Amino acid sequence: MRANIPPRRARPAWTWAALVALTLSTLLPLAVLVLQSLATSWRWPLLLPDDYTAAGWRTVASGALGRSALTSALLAMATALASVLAALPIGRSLATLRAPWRHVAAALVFLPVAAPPIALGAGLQVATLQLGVAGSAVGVWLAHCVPAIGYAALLFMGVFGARGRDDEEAARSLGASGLQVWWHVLLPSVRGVIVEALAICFLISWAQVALTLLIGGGAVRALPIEVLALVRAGQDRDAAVGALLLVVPAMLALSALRFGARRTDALPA
Amino acid sequence: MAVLKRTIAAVAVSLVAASLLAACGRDASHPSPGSDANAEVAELAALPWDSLVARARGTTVTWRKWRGDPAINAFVDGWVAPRLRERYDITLEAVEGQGAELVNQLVLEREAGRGRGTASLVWINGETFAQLRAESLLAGPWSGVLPSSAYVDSASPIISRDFEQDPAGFESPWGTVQFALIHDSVRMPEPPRTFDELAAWIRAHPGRFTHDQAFSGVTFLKMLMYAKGGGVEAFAGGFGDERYARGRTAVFGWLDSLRGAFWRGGATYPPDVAAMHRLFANGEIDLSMSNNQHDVVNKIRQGVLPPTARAFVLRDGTIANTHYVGIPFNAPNPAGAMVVADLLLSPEAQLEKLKPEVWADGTVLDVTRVPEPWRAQFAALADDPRAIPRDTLARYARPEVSPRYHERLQADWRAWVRGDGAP
Repeated sequence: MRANIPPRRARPAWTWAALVALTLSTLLPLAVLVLQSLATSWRWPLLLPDDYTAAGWRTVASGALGRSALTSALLAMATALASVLAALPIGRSLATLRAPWRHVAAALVFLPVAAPPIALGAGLQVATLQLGVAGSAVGVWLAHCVPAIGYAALLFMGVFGARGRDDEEAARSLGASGLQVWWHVLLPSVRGVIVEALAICFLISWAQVALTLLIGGGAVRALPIEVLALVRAGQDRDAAVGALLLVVPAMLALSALRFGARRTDALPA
Repeated sequence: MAVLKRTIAAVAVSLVAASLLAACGRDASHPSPGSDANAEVAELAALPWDSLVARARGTTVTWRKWRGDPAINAFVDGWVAPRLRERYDITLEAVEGQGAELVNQLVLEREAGRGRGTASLVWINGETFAQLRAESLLAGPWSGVLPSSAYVDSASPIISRDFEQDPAGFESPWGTVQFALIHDSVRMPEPPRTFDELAAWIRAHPGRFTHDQAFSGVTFLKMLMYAKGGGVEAFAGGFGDERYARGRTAVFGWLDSLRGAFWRGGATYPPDVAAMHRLFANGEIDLSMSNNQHDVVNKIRQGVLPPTARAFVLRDGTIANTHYVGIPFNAPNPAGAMVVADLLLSPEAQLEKLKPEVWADGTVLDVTRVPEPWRAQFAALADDPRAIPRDTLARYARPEVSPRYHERLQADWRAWVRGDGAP
């Protein structure tokens, strides 16, 4: 193995330049957001705000932003949990299908992911209305699960398909029950992917706007909805606070994703 | 395998059940079944007010409204809601939704055919009211039953007619606003006072004027249509194709002659008032505008506009209109909604939201007829030096015309911006 690794060479200057540019392009917008979130007002031609206030951040603890961040966090966690639980058996079943059906099934699973959220939302809106859960957190949660299950099922389908069924059949021939096969063979083999799927499903729900608006009918005030409303109303300070609240969990989830990916070598480390 | 399926099913069911319970706790106040609130509204309208209030006690009212302004939200959540709770034990849930969203939501709820809907009160006016009425999506009549409706300034055509439509008891007035332009009293001490002066100013200062693409921008165009097309009288009394054609020629003639001197050569326009305020505050343009003549006081306090910003009105006349609350045809709690509408209309609430530091929304009451101590307090508020004097506003106020004019102007303006030939 070691022989395959090329000898270490000094990085050329342009990679450093690219690295610096990348870091700046990540950090500068965040820095602007941090300043904006603390500025009383920040107008051209001032390079920096002339006065600062914590009023925006105080609304996190006391007002709508804090409540909606909590709503979003609960929604995203419930979505991640339910979607991964549902996607595990779906992905497993898809992986066992034969060639033509497997592709058809994969396309079907991918449909809610690929379809524009508005098209998906129109159908889901009628469905949730008939179920009597439109305009409630439950309805929004169910709607978020639809694309999330699609993503996660595809992910599991790939992993289960690549692993083959040898271990499973060996366990079965040694007398393991269905549950034992799942618990001792299948789940441990996809542990890293489960972390990854949880993170992705969390993010799908966390960043969802169209489905939340359509199904929630304005009553479910998730964080992205609140931030959009503030931007539209020209409340730049509060919007910046909300935007930072949106970014932080997304970054945490992304690092969880990297972590999971590294454990399973699903992505180059 | 079977055991696992059961486990998954059990987890899923308990998740759903837990969330359902959580959701039901919030919404446990639907008083009676049946999909149509109209019968219940008729029954309520015949009751003595005290019995209606008794029926509303202990319920929840979901109010679908625009939630984009923190000052308005603070008034509703911090002033109206606590009073409803203290006096009537009513829980007010103000949720987002306006204009076309409201209409679509109600149409969908009707199509889904599922008992009562989600909202008991909606914040509407103009074209939204027209669409809801055309689709029979509002319950009524009921607004005349409210005790506070006795003080409504029904002599004012701006309040008694919503874009020329008779509210007919299907919506209750809540507030009134008048269009104003905004200038910076330091950068531009003497703003233009007529459309002709404005045109001369725009030519002399290319790139410093624009209007937004949304409601305020179209209202500005409609004022231009009145001013250049023969006054509001030329368009009053319903929509007329020929009359509109004349107004359109006047509007787009004015725009064509000035477009090159607009911000960015008139190729692009800010999407909404908030974006226009941003351009104004950053010194990219010298004039902003708002549908609310007092908005500038509010926005200075929020730091959105510089402290030297001031509102002014054009002597050619500026459009004033009224906003209302309505009860949807499938409202789960019409009794509660009527109590909320009455509190919104009460002298106490009208005075509170008129205060510049609260919202600065105009009152729909005849302030000479309200009882003391409110009458004196309304009079004291009118002397606020930051506000445009009330008689100035009244002198230049012009009513709305049929919502069709608004819709057509908006559509034709979009075509004009795209360059689909002068309409």
